[in-house]
Amino acid sequence: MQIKSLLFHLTALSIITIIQTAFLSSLSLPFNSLNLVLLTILFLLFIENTNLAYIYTGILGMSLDLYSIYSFGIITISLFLSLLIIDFIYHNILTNHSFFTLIILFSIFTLLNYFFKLSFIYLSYYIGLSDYLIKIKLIYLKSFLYEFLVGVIVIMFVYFIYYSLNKKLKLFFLTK
Amino acid sequence: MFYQKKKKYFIIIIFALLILLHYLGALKPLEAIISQTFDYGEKYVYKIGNKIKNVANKKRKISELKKENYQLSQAINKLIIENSKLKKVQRENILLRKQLKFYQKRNYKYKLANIIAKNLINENLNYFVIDRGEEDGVKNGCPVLAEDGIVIGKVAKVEKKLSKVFLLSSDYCKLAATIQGNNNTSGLIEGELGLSIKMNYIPQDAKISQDQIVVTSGLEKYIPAGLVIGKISKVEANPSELFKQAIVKPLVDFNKLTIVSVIIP
Repeated sequence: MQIKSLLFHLTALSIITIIQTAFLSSLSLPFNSLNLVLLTILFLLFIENTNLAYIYTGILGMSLDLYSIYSFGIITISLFLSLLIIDFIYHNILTNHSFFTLIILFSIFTLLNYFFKLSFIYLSYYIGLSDYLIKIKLIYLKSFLYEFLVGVIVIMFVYFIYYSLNKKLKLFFLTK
Repeated sequence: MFYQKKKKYFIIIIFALLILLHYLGALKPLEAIISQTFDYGEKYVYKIGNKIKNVANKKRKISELKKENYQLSQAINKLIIENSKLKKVQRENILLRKQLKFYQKRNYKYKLANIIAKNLINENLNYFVIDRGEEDGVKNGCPVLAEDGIVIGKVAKVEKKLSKVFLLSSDYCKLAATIQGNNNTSGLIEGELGLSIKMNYIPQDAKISQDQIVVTSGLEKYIPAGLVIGKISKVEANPSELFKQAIVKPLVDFNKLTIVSVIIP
């Protein structure tokens, strides 16, 4: 059973990495703005699979770091820090499992991830670890906006599919 | 509850240690295995994505065309779908033949590479990832070429089995260049926001015109002279300034690239 679940998670992690790095990145705006990694982590946290969310963060973050032009670790650390804050907010402030909670959490998660990533990129540049900076220009802000909008649309679909499936499962259980 | 909390911090510590191990070089073999495992799938997934993007772009253009062109475009699309498999193989074949011909003519050492990924989300630096790295002799600053030996970018970061390449249109790609047939007027090729390529630092007294060919000057360590970069599409001259500028049009569509080659030292 454990081997089965391990294989399932490894396959899921590989598929998410390949889709994010090779497939989505080759598409044009707005489709290349979909942050599948962020959505997966948030959804795992939302369905109360907190530890798995942390493990996915580490593995997906490091996989993306392999393909990133910036210093290794920036994506992983940014994701971990954002997740710690989101985890705190979810379990202490926004504790209900509503759709709006998910949207608010996603907004905060996206903003925090951007903030931490940019901070670490600038930090690594000034301490000499990296030679490249993100120049914040209109085109960059546009991609951020797209990431948010595309994310919200996908969340809507995933949430309602998950909710309806869960409902069906409950009904099925009762009729049995 | 306390155990649960402890567990997540334990996970974070493990990954922090892994990042540290990366910088110590201890993870290199593992990273090489991971990137090699992903490489095969990514190569094909990237090609599929690229194809979808091109079809989507084509469809957008079709909607802008007049009615009389509509039927013709539809027929072309049908043919493209019908022959897609054959064309894919044919295109790869032509690319490889062209590259082979180019390298046979000149005596460069080169490695063919597949593009396996492009700039990650919110990293608008215009770079792509190829499946050749340190192990294949790729070094920072090596030129990356499309078919017929047209320069498309420069290697920016090398891993064991992967390399990250800046496209010429990237803000961070700079290349020493000369204008052919013009007493070898030199300048510096620089990308602009990932959208266009400019040749800067051209002396005001240099006589340059549209359609002249821009080539590498050979002043950089791993970049030989005479590799074609593009064609001048516009000259911008302001008499009050010290230098002229020229907009350079690349001879290949960067969006359609799937196979490239790297000249190695």
